[in-house]
Amino acid sequence: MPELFEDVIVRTIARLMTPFIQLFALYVLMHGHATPGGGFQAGVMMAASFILIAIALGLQEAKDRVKQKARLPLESFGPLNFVVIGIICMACGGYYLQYTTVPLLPSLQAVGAILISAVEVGIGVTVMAMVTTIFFSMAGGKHDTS
Amino acid sequence: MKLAPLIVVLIIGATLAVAVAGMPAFGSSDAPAYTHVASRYLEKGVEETGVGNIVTAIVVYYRGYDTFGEVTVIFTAGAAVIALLGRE
Repeated sequence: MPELFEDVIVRTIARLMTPFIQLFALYVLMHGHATPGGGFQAGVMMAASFILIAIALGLQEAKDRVKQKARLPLESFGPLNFVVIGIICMACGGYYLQYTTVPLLPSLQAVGAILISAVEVGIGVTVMAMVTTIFFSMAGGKHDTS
Repeated sequence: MKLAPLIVVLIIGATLAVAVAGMPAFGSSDAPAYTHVASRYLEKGVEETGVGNIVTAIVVYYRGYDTFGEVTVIFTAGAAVIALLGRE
């Protein structure tokens, strides 16, 4: 376990900044179709907020906030989500990942935007869970050899 | 002898230096990268994909298969780390 920062400024600022970082990550995720951003960037920002908690408030605090049981299904959600949406597009008569063939709404453009956002959400969830897991695995734990 | 590798490297380097002279100027709009499919993406991107951000349209729609591979790479990287270091 890394040593905790006992500095009250570091702990308070980290605690205050975390919700804003996570809100901005969600904004980047949900506005990926209209403004710069997308799943990869949003996932890394969300993971960075948990890494900030782990550095400033301790590894255990971060692990309590994003539990392993919650991360386990999220890690494989992105690729599975991608494959399922691609196969839905094929079932609707288009090519693999040709989103605009899915007859969900009257407007083809709306379908494209919705499915692209769904794919982006899957990417963001997977990147968030994987980067957090990689950090937690390397930060130590039950295999502590020190 | 160390001379033969040096000659090979010099020949390859000279070939590459000559090839650089034939490349389009930096930022030139006549470069093949901008004349092949890029203009079509810019013209029809919003109409075909329904998203205003052309980068997202290319990454997730036109190059969707590539992005799928990228997500798989992230997943595989995490799986490899878990396999090597174990679950925390």
